[in-house]
Amino acid sequence: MTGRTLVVCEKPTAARRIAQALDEEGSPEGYREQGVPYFIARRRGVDLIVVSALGHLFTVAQRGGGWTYPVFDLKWVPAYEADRSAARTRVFIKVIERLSRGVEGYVSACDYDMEGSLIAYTILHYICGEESLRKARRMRYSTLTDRDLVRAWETMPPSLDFPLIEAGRARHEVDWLFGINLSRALTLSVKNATGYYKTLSIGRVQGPTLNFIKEREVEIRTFVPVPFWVIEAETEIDGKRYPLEYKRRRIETEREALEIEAACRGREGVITSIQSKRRSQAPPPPFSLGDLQREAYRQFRYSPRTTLRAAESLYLEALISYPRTSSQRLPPSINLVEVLRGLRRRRAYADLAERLLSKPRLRPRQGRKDDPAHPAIHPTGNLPGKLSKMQSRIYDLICRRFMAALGDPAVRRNVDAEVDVNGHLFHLKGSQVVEQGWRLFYAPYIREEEVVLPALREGQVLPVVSLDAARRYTKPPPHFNPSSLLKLMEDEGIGTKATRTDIIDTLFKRGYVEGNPVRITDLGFTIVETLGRYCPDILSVEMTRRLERDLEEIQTGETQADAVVREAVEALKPILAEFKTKERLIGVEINETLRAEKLRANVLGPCPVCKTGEIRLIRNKQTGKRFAGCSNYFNGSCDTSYPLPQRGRIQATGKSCRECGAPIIRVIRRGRRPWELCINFDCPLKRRGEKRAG
Amino acid sequence: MQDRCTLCGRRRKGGSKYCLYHQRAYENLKRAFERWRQALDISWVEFLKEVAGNPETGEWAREVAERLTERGLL
Repeated sequence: MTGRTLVVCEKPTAARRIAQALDEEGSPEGYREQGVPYFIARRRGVDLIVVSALGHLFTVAQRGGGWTYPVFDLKWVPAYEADRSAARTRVFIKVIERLSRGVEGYVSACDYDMEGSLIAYTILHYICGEESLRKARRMRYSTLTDRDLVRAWETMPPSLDFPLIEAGRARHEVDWLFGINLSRALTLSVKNATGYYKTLSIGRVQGPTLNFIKEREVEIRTFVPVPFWVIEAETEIDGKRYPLEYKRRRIETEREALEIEAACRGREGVITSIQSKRRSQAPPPPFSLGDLQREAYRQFRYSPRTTLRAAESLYLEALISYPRTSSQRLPPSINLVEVLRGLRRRRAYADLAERLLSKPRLRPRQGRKDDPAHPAIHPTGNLPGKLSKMQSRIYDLICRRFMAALGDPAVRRNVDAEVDVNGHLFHLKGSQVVEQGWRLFYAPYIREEEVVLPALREGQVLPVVSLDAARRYTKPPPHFNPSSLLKLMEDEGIGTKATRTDIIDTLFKRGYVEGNPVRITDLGFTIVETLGRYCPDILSVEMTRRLERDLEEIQTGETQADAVVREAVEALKPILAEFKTKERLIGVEINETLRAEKLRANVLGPCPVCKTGEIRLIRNKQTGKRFAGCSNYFNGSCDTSYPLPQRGRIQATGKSCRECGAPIIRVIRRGRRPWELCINFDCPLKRRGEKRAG
Repeated sequence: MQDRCTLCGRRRKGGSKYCLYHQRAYENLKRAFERWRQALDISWVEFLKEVAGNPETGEWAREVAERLTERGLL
């Protein structure tokens, strides 16, 4: 490599790290042009111009005009042309274009995955020209540590990773084709049928995911509980109570439950046998992204999006490896000893790391899932500086899980004493950890309780101090939460580790689902129901799964990207044709829900004066100004009205003022913290200067 | 609105007086009743009252149970 080389990175932070690692002095020159940072590093007599993208600088757009469907003719354009919110990409493109002049070598140094490969490819292809693609090489790294980056530089393959790029290109094009056509079809169905415009969207993965949520909701709403009985009994040994478990967890009929109760109440039990077993518990494998997101939700209730964001910031700080990985494995190429030596420098991990370092051999527990691009998430051993609370928690989780994966199996001693109570068999069970093994490293995150039994012997008589046949009911399945939804998508093979979090977010943004636990809204319900009735293929998990398989096959060279895109077009054609014929019906049905939702959204609360009307948000048709008035105004029975703030979004809170009874609203304005207020301008609380009306 | 569910106004399912969802809830009620009867030796009327008052009962199943009780369609 001679002369000047352009090194394309994905984000400014990564560009700085890469430039620092590659510069022989470790201090590259930093520049900023029109707000775009870039660096010049020197390595073996070559000037490396390290530039950064801003995520995707190019995207898929419609060729030709018209806001209609079907649309199958697409092209790649600068992101700012297709999306107004991507305006800043324009200067990045301009600066990269200028810096690439006279450059002789090109390196793709974006994150090593499909998206990263595609980001660098489109920059080289559309800014630097076709020729650059032939000269370009690819850095492959899993951490942003100097060591890993220099190794990646020294061992670069001579060309770009075209199968990965092609897979990325096809994924973007297929997702665009589905997204644009189905979303336009939905939006236009309402607009053409009723004249009302509301952006509605549905996509290749969104559809089946929303359908899963709807199916679960139907299951819950149609659920009928069935009674069963459990025998709840306790014994007492040395003044301490222990539960006695009846041999059958559930008794199906009341009669039988009462018979058991009658036979055992007031009786004594006799231990007929005691079994003690040692059970080995293997360490948990290191985290894949999905595992980390689920564990962070379980431990801290962090949403998958929050966890991903925290993990990505830790990666950019070179504290952990690349987090968007499906792998649960730590390959031999990772220097485990070096990572542990790094962790040992942190007081919280010093003893733990030392324990592992003193082992004659380090063999990590490997999980089943693998990822050809990256290992499981693991710490790099670099010492963190100041971390936010969220970053600290995620970092601790990753470090402890990494060390746990290197730990020995834990051993539990389980005791099961069979107790005969008047011919009925009960179990007195105990469980105790006898060898901590890996649990020592993961202790803060383990929530199992131990039941330590006293010494028991066969023939010992035990009093039954309480015994009841308690009626219980079967329960409906739980609503999804962001974490269980993510797991379901993983299990069903829809979306990728990089896109699943975004898809769940989109469902929230569109108003199809809300809350945590995740509940489908009326709009979401109507969308799935209507599509299910008229175009069930859009919700088909089979079609999505098949496309995912095809997209993966592009990476392995078994399928061509163009063939997969063509297949997507062929799959879409009949769906859209069918949709067109039923567009009016679909539009009318969706509009009914939209209108009902709009009406509901305008209700701010009950009227405190007439007590029968609703205070609604009303807009004056002449002035355009808004105010709140009672719904009974229209029948002449109540003329209560209140002025409203004219700026910002107004939301009902469901609360009423404790002093005057008027509804309390939430006002949301961009750049400001939302505030809640009683809408009654003359509220006595306001006169007294008290803030909290609710 | 003869083609609409008597409980929610959705389109009716086939010859049923309910929509797809309330019909499913109704079928679940019938299936569950068999198990309740074996478990408690309970009548259909008592069963509907129990189910309507049970916090685990789904919203649509409760609506069907209440409607059947109200109308005496027992």
